[in-house]
Amino acid sequence: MLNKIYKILIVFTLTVFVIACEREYTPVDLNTEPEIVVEGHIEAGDNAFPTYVILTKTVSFFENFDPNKLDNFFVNGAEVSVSDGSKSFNLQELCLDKLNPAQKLIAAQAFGLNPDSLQNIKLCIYLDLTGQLKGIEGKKYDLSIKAGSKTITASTVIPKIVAVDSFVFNKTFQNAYPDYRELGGYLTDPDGYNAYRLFAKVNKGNFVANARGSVVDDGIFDGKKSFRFQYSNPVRRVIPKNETADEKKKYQGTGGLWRVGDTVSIKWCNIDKAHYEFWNTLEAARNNQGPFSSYTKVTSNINGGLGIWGAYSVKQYNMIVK
Amino acid sequence: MLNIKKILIFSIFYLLPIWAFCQNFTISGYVKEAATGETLIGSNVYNSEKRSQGTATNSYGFYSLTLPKGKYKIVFSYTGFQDQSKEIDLNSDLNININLTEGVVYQEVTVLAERKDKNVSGTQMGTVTLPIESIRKIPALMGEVDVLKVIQLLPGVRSAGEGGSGFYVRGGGPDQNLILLDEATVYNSGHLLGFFSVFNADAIKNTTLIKGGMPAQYGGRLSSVLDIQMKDGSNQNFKAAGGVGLISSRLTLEGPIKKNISSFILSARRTYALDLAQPYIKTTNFAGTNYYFYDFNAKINYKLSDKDRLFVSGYFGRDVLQYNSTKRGFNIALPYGNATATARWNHLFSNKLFMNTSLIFNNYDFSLTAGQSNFSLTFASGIRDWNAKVDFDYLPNPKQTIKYGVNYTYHTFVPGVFNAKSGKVEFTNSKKNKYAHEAAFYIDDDWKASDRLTLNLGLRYSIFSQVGPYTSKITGQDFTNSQAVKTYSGLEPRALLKYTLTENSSVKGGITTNYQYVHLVSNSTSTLPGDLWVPSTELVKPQKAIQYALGYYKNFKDNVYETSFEVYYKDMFNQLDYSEDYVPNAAKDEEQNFVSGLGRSYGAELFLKKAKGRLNGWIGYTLSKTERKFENINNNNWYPLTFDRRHDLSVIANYQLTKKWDASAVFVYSTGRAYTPIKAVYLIGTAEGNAQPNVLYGQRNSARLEPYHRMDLSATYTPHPDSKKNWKGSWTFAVYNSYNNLNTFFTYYNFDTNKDTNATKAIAYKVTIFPIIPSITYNFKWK
Repeated sequence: MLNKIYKILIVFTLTVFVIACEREYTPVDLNTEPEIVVEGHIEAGDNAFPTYVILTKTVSFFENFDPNKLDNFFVNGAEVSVSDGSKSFNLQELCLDKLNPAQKLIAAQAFGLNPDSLQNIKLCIYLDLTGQLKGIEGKKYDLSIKAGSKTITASTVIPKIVAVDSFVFNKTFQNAYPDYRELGGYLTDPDGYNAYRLFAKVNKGNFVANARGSVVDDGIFDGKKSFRFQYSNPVRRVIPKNETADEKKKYQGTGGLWRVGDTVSIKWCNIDKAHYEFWNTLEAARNNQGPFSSYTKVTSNINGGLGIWGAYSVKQYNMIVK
Repeated sequence: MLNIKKILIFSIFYLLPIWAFCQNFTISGYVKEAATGETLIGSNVYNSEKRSQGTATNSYGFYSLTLPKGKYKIVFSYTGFQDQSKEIDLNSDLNININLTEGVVYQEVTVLAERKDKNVSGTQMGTVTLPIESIRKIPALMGEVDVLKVIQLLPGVRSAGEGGSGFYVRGGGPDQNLILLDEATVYNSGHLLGFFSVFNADAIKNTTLIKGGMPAQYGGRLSSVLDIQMKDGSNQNFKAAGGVGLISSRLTLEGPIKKNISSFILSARRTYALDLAQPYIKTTNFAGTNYYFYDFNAKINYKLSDKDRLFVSGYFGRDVLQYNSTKRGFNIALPYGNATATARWNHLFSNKLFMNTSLIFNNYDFSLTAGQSNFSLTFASGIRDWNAKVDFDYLPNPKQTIKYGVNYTYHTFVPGVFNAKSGKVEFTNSKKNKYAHEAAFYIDDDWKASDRLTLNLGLRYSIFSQVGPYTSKITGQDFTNSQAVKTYSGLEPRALLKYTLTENSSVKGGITTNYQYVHLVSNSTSTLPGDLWVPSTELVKPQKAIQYALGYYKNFKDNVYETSFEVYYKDMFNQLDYSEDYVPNAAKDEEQNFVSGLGRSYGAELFLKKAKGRLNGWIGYTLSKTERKFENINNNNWYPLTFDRRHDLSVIANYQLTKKWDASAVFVYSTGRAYTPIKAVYLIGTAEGNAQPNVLYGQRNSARLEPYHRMDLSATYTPHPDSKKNWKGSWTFAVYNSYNNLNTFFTYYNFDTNKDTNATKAIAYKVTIFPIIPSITYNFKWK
């Protein structure tokens, strides 16, 4: 919040100071050994995704990369296993570009992704192909990875789900945007630590989390009953390229709002504290730049690498915006 | 604890009179400016036959000089003013008040009006006094004359950021400077994110910076004291002065309430850039949006009798931001600022014993209210002090100046208290105010042990106690009102030694110990309005510093040229910072986000000053190194502080071209700022179909920006310098960063995606906020 205020202040400052100018520069190249980045999740609840782990590595600041062609990011041939305390499951490596269209469709459905969005993606992923590893609320899961000479471990707990009391769509202030709504919800937060992560999906899109603030913990609402909160739409509306200037105006100021008639799914997740800290620091780090801040170090629960081994307990809500 | 108190009180009241039993008489009184009756601080009073028999006026313009019976010619001098001398036959105590008149020869312009040979003859080290007139001559950003920016041109003092008014002294953080306005602590000295200071130059008389060898009457901060005194107001005739500039306009009124007895001064300043834009803003979706700041200074003084004087002064300033979005029904109001009030009573017990009693209030508060439809939010933070102090100046003989006193402060800290209301449900982060008592006793003796050797010995005992209501962060214990939660105390010995080599050269050495019980921790590079002051608690230990300094001082050509060379080493303990993974969180107590560690700073400072002549100015050069070491930062290895500068050079020159034209230039050069470089990039969000690049940082502050340098120029044109009319005007033309060097204010990176190839590349940018900036200001005086 304060950061936003400072941003407003700096705009005023710059208005007063006429101009600021910026130019590109080449920072120092530290040329360090790549580190392994883990992105692994296990879920319990509605439409739970299969357990998966993606292994990538860090690259130089100077590297060009295409999010759709990430070949040089993936760490292949690692031994990945997950233990629930009594039994251990091996995860198998699968690369999307090596799958046939039918397999791709199954993969897309498993992750709730639009199959078209996987067309050109070269994604490699370690999956539980046996389907035996199902997340259970309250259980702890240990991850163990051997990649080359590196050994990586991590643990996560699937917390108990705290469901929403209800959701409600409201008109905007003075109905300034008649075709759009705000989404409110009511929640009763149980005593004790609870943390939440939210995703939303609009029509045939993929589930998206707000890249600048997808998590919240109950620091200020611990134990509150039936309080109202507001959830902004994290899905960026893509303005069609050939829209006229007048039509583009329709989109102005509608960021975060929900368009009447759209089909919306909210993926409502509870996460443990370490999982919360990861997203909280990661998202703060993405924001934390400029004259009024120093850097933020991302808190990871991975021993021997970077990233996250995080569990979700999931509740899914499907609604039509009215 | 009690024993130490007893010993101190015993020594103050029992031991002092021992020094005073020879057959001596005392001359005492006040030195003032004839035209206005303003007291002159630091005026020189001495025996013309023997310069070592001399003293200087204190911060109320009072002096006391005790000499053996005899005939003397006593000289009263203050640089920039004509000397006066009095022939006296000293066979009884004398009271002599002196009115000095300003120098008539315009070549006698001075940069730093100190006692002419003070740097060589005084025991103080690392102390500079800047009268406001010399500050005015230095080119100013946007024409806003700013005391704090001039301070940054002195060796050993660093700016917190380009154009910022925050400063670092000998490797200490911005919270380690004690900034006093008429003895009241100013906790946040910046307007508009720190780009302008809260000190309106029109209301200020004198500024003294002590960066090393803090005398025992000052304490509570590790690095420096910046002591700013407000003008008293003329007790001779009514006057007005003011100015119109690009940023703000100013108006000051002063005059006698009762001639020679009492006077007042009122001074106001306000910005108006966005006021002028209001007619346009009203037509947009942001109607009602505005930003401005203002300052208001007021002071009255009253001479109750020859022995009693009363001063009441105050400051009130605010920054106000209003932001309205009419379309989304969203609004923010953000006012913040300082208020101070000081009441002082000077009393002369005898011509050798001067007392000042002060009652002081100061408050800094920051508040934010925001609302949208049925949601509202308030946020408040700040610090409030009630302070009482009694200080004695005792001058038993020309060899001794003894200062002693007590100081007590009651602090109230308002942490970021957050309240929100959504419909009928209320939220709060349940943060409670914190309270603390702080007290100190001190004694300081400036003793001329021989013709060559002078010692300044000081001892300060400080005590700080956090009191309830409070809930322990460690044990969970609840403390009730006024119950002590945690008490810290410490002895702060200070010793300075001066050895005179020749009439115009000396060496000095000193050791100073300081404790600091209140802290401000910021993870930004400038001081921000929402930054929190926090007390020492169970979790937060007091900061401590020990500074060792050695200096050589030499003046040339009858003190026209002054030089000094000082080296210092400073050890700092319990330094505070935010942990590296700190994310602002309204629900968490700030003290739980801190990490503590060590600091050290060492360096050499060279200062060459030409105080007189048509061409005057100074050159300051600093070679220094400042480092920090924290357990959880940089693997417990020493790393440079962001404001560590290996080399730092300032050149300031002022030249009186003609009676009408006066020109000035400033050149600064320093090693680039340290920053934390990016080590690598990695992706997160791949499986969510939303792979986002993230950066991994290298060792803290292990890279450097390019060196910083710029030159500022200014010229002041006074159309009728000899005019006898009541109205006198002058124009000041200034150019900041005259050769438009693009100094980096901050850097950032961005991930740019090529729309055709969809390839993303990280690009780093440098941002300059102050390219060449010309300004024009009109100033006037009316009497």
